[in-house]
Amino acid sequence: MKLTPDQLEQRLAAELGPDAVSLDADRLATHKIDGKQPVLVCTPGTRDQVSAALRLCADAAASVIPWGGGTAMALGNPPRQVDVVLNTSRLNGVIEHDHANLTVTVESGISLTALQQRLADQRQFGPFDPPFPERSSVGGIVAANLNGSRRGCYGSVRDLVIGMKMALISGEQIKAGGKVVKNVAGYDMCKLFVGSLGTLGIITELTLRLVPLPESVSTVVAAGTFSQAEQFIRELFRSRLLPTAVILSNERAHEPWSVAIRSEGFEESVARCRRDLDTLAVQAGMSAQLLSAGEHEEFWRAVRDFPLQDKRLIYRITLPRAEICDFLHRAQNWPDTETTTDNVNGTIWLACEPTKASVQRFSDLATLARARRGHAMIFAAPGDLKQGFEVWGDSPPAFSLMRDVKHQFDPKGLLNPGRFVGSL
Amino acid sequence: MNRTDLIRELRAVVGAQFVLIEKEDVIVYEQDGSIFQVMPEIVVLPGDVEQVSAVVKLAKQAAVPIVPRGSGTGLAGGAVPAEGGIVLSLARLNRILKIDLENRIAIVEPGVINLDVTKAVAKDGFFYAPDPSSQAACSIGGNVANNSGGPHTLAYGVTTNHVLGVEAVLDDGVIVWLGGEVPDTPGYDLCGVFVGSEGTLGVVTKVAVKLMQTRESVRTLLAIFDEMDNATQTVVDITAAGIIPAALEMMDRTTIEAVERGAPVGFPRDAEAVLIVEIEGLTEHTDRSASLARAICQRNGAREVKLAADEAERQRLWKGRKGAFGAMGTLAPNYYVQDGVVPRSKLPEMMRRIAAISKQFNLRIANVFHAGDGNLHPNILFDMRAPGELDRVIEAGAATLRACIELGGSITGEHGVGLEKKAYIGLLFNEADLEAMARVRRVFDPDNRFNPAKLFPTPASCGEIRLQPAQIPAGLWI
Amino acid sequence: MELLRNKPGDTATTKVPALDLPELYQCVHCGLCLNQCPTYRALHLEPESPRGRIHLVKAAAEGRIELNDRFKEHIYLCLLCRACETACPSGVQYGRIAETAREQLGPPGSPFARAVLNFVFTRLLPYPRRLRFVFTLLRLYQRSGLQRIARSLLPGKLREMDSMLPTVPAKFYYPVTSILPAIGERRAKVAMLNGCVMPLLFGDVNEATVRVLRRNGCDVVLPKNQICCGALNIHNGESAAAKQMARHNIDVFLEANVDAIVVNSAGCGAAMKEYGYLLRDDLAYRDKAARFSSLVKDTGEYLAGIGLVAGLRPVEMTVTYQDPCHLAHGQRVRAQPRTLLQSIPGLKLVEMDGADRCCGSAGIYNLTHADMSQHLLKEKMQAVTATHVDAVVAPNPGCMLQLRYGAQRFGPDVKIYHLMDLLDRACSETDLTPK
Repeated sequence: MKLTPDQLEQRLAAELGPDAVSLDADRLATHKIDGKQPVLVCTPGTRDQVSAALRLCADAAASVIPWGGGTAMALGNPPRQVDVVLNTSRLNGVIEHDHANLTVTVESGISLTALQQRLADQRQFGPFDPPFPERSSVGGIVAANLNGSRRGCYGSVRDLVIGMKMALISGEQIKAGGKVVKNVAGYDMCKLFVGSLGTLGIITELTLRLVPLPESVSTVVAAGTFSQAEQFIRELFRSRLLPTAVILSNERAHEPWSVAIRSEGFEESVARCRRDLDTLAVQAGMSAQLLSAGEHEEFWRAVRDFPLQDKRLIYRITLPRAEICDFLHRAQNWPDTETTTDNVNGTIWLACEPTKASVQRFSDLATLARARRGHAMIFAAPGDLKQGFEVWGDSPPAFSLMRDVKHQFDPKGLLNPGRFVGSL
Repeated sequence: MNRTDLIRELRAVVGAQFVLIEKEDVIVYEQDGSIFQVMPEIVVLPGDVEQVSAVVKLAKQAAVPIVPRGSGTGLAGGAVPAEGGIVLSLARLNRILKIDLENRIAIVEPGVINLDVTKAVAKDGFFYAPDPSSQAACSIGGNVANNSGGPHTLAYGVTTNHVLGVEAVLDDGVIVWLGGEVPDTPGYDLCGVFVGSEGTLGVVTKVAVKLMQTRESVRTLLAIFDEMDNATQTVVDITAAGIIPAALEMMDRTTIEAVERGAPVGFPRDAEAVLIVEIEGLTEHTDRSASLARAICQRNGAREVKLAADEAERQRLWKGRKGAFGAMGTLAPNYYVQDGVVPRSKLPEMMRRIAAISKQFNLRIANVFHAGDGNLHPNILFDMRAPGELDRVIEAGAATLRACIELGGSITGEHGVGLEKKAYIGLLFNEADLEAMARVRRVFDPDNRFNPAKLFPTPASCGEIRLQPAQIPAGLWI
Repeated sequence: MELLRNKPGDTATTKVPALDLPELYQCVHCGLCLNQCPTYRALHLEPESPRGRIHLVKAAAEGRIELNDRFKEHIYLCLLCRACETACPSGVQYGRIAETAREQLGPPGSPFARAVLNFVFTRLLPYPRRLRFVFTLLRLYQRSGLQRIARSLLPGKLREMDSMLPTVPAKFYYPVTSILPAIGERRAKVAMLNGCVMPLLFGDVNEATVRVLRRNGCDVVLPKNQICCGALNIHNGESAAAKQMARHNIDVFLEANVDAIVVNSAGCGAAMKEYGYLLRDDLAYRDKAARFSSLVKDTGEYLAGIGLVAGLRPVEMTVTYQDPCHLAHGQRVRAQPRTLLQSIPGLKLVEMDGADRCCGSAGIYNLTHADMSQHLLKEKMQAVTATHVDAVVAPNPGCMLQLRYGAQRFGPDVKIYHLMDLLDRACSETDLTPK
């Protein structure tokens, strides 16, 4: 940083108002990233203020760590430098809910739960399933590309974002996309920013696609041996059923395995799914259980929050779905590991004890994934464990292009320095 | 490198048969599906990705533009070589390389025809969802360049929602994969930026596409309205009710007249508008959705709502819809098709504006379009030979686009910007927005040689562009 | 939107008004024809597609390109199969455009080839007796052992052409009586085109056709003075003699005063149905030609229309059906031959992939463009192989010759029949002697 923390604080306070900047020790302590504490926390109230804050930080050569709900800060490589944390929680307004268009435009700092509450008025919701939605900001979900179990049914984060406003490190504000679900005017810049982890700019506004709240929801859990589960899943995908989510999990590497299938829609559709699933379970020799409302809530909450469990080392492995079971066979032998697998989308979450031994498995996992045309990453882990590892896994073939893109938008490398792929 | 050397080198790479320079050979490449024509200088047809890479390298050495071309069916002039250079036809890269039904993906070359992907997997109960009405002609590579849609976009998404990765040849001839065979590949979603980039970032040589399983059941409704406002309100209400049809198409009175003159299917000629609502899914889902949709139509004063009794009747309804364009010739010798899009909540207002524009410019406009996602296709009917008519048509077209923007929409829902609409892109995006896009372009195409003069506003190009307004045939790109 | 329009002086050469056909302006460049065009599928070159060829003709009409050799090559590589017309949603009549362009260009090939073709088109085809004479000589050449000697002496290309020569049969079909009455209840009176090549190479098929028609209640008239229909001429840039032949046939057949004019050769049927267009500028014959054309029916089309009345005996065979291009695309007759085949007990019809795709025969194309022709034939025989049938049914002499050659050269070992061969077999009770 070219300025002292006080100097920067003064400038920011002058632009944004004193409430928007904090040097308070307690506040700083709650904004650590991989154990590193910032010198300053800035909380702009509008997107113009975000833009101004970035400009001032850039002038001061201060690195900026965007902070939404702070739920996924364990993502990414440890930051090279932590100067200013830019907290978006004050950008929490709903700008326009066009319910007849099934779209909503929001400020990026709004928590997902707060958004859902507003949307529920019109019996709609945003089909995102990030961990800790009551704290997770919509901007953070998008920037971190946090996908959940229902993406196969409703679309991934990248499919649900149709418009965006961003503030660049220079202070410039740009927009991309729009409010319409079909739009091919210009480059799809939204896609560039989805999953960019704030390294190209800070998302200040988002326009999202919505879906109707389903009339009925239920979960059937089929339990049995691993090979029974394998057979069951194969038959399920061969059938005409359109499950909302399919989760395969074990309990600490012992049998039985369970396959949970979530069905959403009209009552009669869900009832039909239940019947068909029961039949499939029987055919596979498995027991089938319909979860009660409470069990259902509990189950999906656990699935949802699995990837960001506190104090665990979480691996994310993404494979073609036909490769999952074979992969899990091999991973079964690792002790103290829980897995939760999204069979529709081929995502396997492995949660291990945060030990050196656990993190040493990374290269084996990466090799296994690579051989199956997939990829593996250390999704979340305590900062000290991540040291010396490239958490994102194999360097992507187009890395040099990515580096150039980063350079175009953030030539001095001030936004989230070091956290993204290849320590960009 | 001069022209003679370039031609010699190109011939060495792809074979003399596939380097076209004679006027009688290249003139057929001056046109795509749009109203623009520019005579190409050289047309090259590589046979594999290595040849594509070698040709791109030669183009760089010679500092000439590269204009990639699929089937040449685009409506915005994307494949027209506005600034000269090499037209690079991908027609010979036409193999389906891999079909993996268990993982529901296929890897195809860019010259593969869209419909052929579905045909290859249909007997196994799968399909490739993005279905532009030109799908029996258009190429996957072209679909990627334009992020093409189609009637079934509404439920299933457009091309970018179905592309997991692309292999592309970049400016310096390097062959690189963006994305992969699985989602969430680490790094920036460059594949996502590439889709819809209209050939300005590189040349696609392989595409990994998602396949979908065909649905158990389909229900198709035809709703007949005496007032356009009732029809558009129905679209709004269906959307708001959370019924997500597989397709929701609208035809207005003028279109119905054309259909009934050209290839009649029994649409009522005195109706102001008809809607085709198609729902797919489990039987329980389609039955309920159809009955809900019917109720909404009736609530909005539909004169009649018919459910197609069987597959034959369903095909007949679609034939009427798809026959609309071929039949336009019964009304006028020329027409100019637009591609605006508005939020569905603004559809009633937009249709009123189109009616006003029709009056203002004294031109008949036939509307047949994807009402369900707000993607309009007003067809301005005219006669080229009538003096001054073409100018009015162009002005009317511009007015339609401005109306779309005013209502919070966009200038193009699926045809792309190309040559045709680049003058309007500044109405949607300001300088900072366009500069951000330019930065991305600089990374891929620093010399601005890939499909130059497309997408972004530029000073008037030096190429000589001919104008050839087209008549639109049945069921195409709508 | 700022548009740059055509600059004056865009024309490189003189305009060709004769090519400025209204049909050209119906093409909207949609490209749906490309993947149905056999030459485009083979080469993936736009100038070898219908869309490309239409564009070329238009450019030539506008004087933007010349009618030079390159132009001619593109126009003549086309098979004139008209699969593009079937695919076209705008109803562009590509056949008319291509035939008009060829008329401007004249016959294809080297000056020697053109001279030979001109001779054949103007001095041979319109004269049945001369044709008969030539084929008698050919028969002699084949049977006398001369051919065997020649084969060892002929250079490559000629040897290949010689090997493609069909065996001229022992008998030609020129029945003595010109009216052959119906057998059983008389339902209609039809005239049949005997053709130029059919009676010489496929006399048995014509004989079978007559039998089937008679057995199904038709008086069959074979007008003595009929001549070649002129299809080959029209397809190869010769129109003067073709028009004369058309006029002659119109007079002869109209005089016969029949309910229908039936044709068992798809190429001829298509040409005759289009006499109205061929003679559109002939004030004296225009209306007669239209009337004539409206009477023309393919024999399969006609029989399916009136319905078979003769009892059908079983024919135990699996077959596949090759749609002749000028029947499926040129006349839009697809279902009727299939219906007839399926009505024969014991006969199993298996559809092959691309049944309506050209086999490469295309008139004399297999001689003028042997490479492309063989390429398409090879693909066709692969499609046949996949069906595992005993025989291929193709109601057109050109297709039959080509497929026979294909079976011989590429396999599989299948028989090639005309539709009438099998109907005749199914209808036959005892042999008939004409009265």
